[in-house]
Amino acid sequence: MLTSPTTTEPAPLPAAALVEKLFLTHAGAIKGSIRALLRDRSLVEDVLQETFLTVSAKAGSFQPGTNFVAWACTIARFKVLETIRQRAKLESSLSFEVIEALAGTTPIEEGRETTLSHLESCLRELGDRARRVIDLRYFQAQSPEEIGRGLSLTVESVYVALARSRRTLRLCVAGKMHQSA
Amino acid sequence: MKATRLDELLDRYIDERLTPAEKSELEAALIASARARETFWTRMHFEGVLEEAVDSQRIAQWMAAADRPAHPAVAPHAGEVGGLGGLWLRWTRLMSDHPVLTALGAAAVAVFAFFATRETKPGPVVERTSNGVAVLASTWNVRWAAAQSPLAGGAVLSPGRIKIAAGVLSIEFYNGARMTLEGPADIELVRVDEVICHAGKLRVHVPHVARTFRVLTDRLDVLDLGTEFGLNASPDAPTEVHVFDGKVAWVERGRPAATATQEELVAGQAIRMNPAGPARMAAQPDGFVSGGVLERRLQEQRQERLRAWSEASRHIGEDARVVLHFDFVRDPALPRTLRNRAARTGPALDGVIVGSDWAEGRWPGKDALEFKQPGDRVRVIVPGEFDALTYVAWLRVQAVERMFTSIFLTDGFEPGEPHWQFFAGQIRLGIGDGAARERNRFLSPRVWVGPEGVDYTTENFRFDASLDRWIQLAVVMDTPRRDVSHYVDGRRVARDEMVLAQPLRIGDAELGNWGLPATIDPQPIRNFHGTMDEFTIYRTALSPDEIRTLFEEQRPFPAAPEVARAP
Repeated sequence: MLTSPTTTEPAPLPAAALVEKLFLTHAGAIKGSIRALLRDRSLVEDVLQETFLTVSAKAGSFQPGTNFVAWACTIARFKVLETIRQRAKLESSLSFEVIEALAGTTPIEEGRETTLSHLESCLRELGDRARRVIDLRYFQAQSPEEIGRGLSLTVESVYVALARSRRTLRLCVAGKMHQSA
Repeated sequence: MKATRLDELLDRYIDERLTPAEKSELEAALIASARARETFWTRMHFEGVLEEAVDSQRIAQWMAAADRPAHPAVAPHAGEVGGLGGLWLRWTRLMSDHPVLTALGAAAVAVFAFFATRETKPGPVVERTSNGVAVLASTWNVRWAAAQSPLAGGAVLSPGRIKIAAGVLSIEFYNGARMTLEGPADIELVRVDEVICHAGKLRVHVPHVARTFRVLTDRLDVLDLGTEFGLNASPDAPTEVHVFDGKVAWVERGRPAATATQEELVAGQAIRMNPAGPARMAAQPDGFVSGGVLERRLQEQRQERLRAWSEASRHIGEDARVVLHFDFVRDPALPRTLRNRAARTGPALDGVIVGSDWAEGRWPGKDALEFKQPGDRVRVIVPGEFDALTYVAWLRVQAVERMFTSIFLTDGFEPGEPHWQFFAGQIRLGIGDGAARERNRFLSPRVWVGPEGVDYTTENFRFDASLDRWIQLAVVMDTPRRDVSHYVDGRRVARDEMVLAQPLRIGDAELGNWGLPATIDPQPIRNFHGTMDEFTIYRTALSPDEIRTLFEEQRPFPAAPEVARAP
C-alpha cells in the first residue's frame, strides 16, 4: 500500500523506542564492527546482545540527529575491550592500543544494502571453483580442513583459494558500485 | 607496508591464523598508518556484509526448521546450526522483552536466495497466506471516514470494518456476490458470504454461483437465497429491506428465539422495521444504486477525466519549459514510436519502443505501455545541459521483483547524469559526480509498505496487489539551489541538499530499463514491471504548487467532493 505523505513523516519517537528502532535498522553494521575486532565467532553474538542492553539503558543520552551507528559502535567497542579483558586467553584478538587506533578511523557504514545486492550478482558471476569454496566456507561453515578433504586440496591451497575468491568478489562488487547510481 | 602484504595479513587475520609475529606486524602497520586502518575497515566491512548474508540465510533455515527435528536437508551442518540455534534462542528470548527488536527476527529472514535455493533436497514450502474475503472492485467519489485508511480499487479486503463518509463503492465477494454501498456507511465484512451493516445503504446481487449471502443489522438477519435486494440501515430511520428479484428470508433480531419466526419477501416486496413492528410495502429499486448504475457513473467520470487530461496535456506540449513530453498516445502510423509531444523539441526526441506492448492507461481509451520482460524499454536521446530538471511520470507498478527497478536512467553514470529508480521500496535519485559515490544519492522515505510485514529489501517479495494502482511520481533537481525533492501523488515526500559541480545531462537514456550492454557480458536486470502512460521532462525546477496542480489535472479519479454533513 502506498503510504500517504502524512504517515511517512511520523511524530518523533520516545528515546527508547527510537534507539531500539535504530539498533534494529543498523544491527548488521554494528555486528560487523564487533566482528571486525573480535574474530572469535562464539563471542560476537554475546557482545552484540550486551551492546543492545547498554544502548537501551543509555537511550536518553543519545542525541537524535547525530550519528547513531558511530555511537552504538563506540559502545560495542567498549564491550569488545571488556570481553577481551575478561578472557585473558584471547591471544588472537588485536591489542587494546590497536583497537583504540582503529576507532579513530570511522568504520564504513553506508551502502550495506547496495553492497549486499551487488554481492549477490557477483556470487553468481564467480567461477565454479571459487563459488564452491565460498559456499563451503561461509554458507556451510566448513573448516578449511574439511574443505580440503572434500575437494582433495591441501589446507594451504584452501586458504589461497579463499583469499583469491574473496578478492575476486571484492573487486567485482567495487566495479558494480562504480557503475551504478 | 606494501598493500599486497597488508592484504595478505588481513586475510590471515580473517581466517584466524596469524602467527604471533604476523600479528605484531599487522598491529604495527595499523598503528603506523591511517591508510592501513582504512583498508582494515574496508575489508572488514566487506566481510561483515558477506557474513550478514550468510546469517540471514542460516537464520531463515533455522526458523523454517524450528518446529521440526533437525534434518540434514535443512541443517547441512548440524553441529554448527545447533550452536547457532542456541545463540538465536537466547537472542530471541532477549528480544521478546523488547518488542521492537522482535522485528529484527523478521528482518534477518532476508532470504539470500542464491545459496538458499541451491539445496538439492527440498525444504519445507512455506506459502504466503491471505485472509481476504472480497475485493474492492471500484470506488466513486468516495470520501473515507476519518478513522478509515483509504483503500484503492483492486485491494483485497480482509474481515473487518469499512467506513465511508460519502460516495459509492462496489465490493465483489469471493463467493461471487456483489455489493454496492452508498455512504455514509459503516459495515463489517465477516466472511465470504456474510456482512454486518451498522449503517448505510447497500444493494447486493447474489448470482446462483454464490448460493447465499447474509446481511446482519441491529434489527434484522437477512438471508438472500440467490437474488438481488437492497437494505437501508440508518441510525435515524427504520431499517428497510427491498427485494428486486428472487427471494429473501429474514428474521427479526433481539426477540426471544421462540417468538422470532423466519419470514420471506419476494420480488417487488419490501419491509420497514417500524418501532411498532415490521410494515410491508412495495420495493423501490431506484432508491438503491445498482452495479449497473455505478458502472455508468464511473464511465461518465472516466470520460470526463480523459477529456480534461487531453486538454491539459496539450498545454504541457506547448509549454516552452518542456523538453520532452510522452503522452503515450499511440500513433497508428508509427506503432513502435513513442511520440514526443513537446513542441519545442519535436520528433527528434521521439522514443523508440523495444519489446513493450501497448496497454490501457489511466482511463479506457488512454494508451499506455506495458513493461514486463527484462528486454522491454523505450530508448531516447535528450541532448543538452541543464541547470535544473523536473521529471514527472504516471505509472502503475505491477510487481517489484528485485532491489533495483528502473524508472528513467541514463545509459552511463557520468558526472551530471541522473538515475531515477526504485530501490528497496524507496524512490532513489542518484546523480553521477565522478567522485564520492554515496554523496549525490537521494532517497524518498519508504513508499511501498507491504501487507503482512513484507520486506521490500529482500527478494522473497514477488507481487503485492496493493501496489497496483496509478501513481504520479516526480523528482526535481535544482543545481543552483542545490535542492533535490521527491514527490508522490503531488506531495513532496523528501527533500535533500545536492552537491554538484557540473550541469545536469541526460543524453542516451531509457525509460523502464537500464542501459545497453557494452559487451556480451551479463547485465544487471533492472526492468520496470508495470505500465506507464505519461512522462514529462521540464528544463526547470517545478515548484511544489505546480506539481500539485499537475497531479490534480492528471489524476485518474477526481478528489472526492467535500459534501455537507447530513443534517
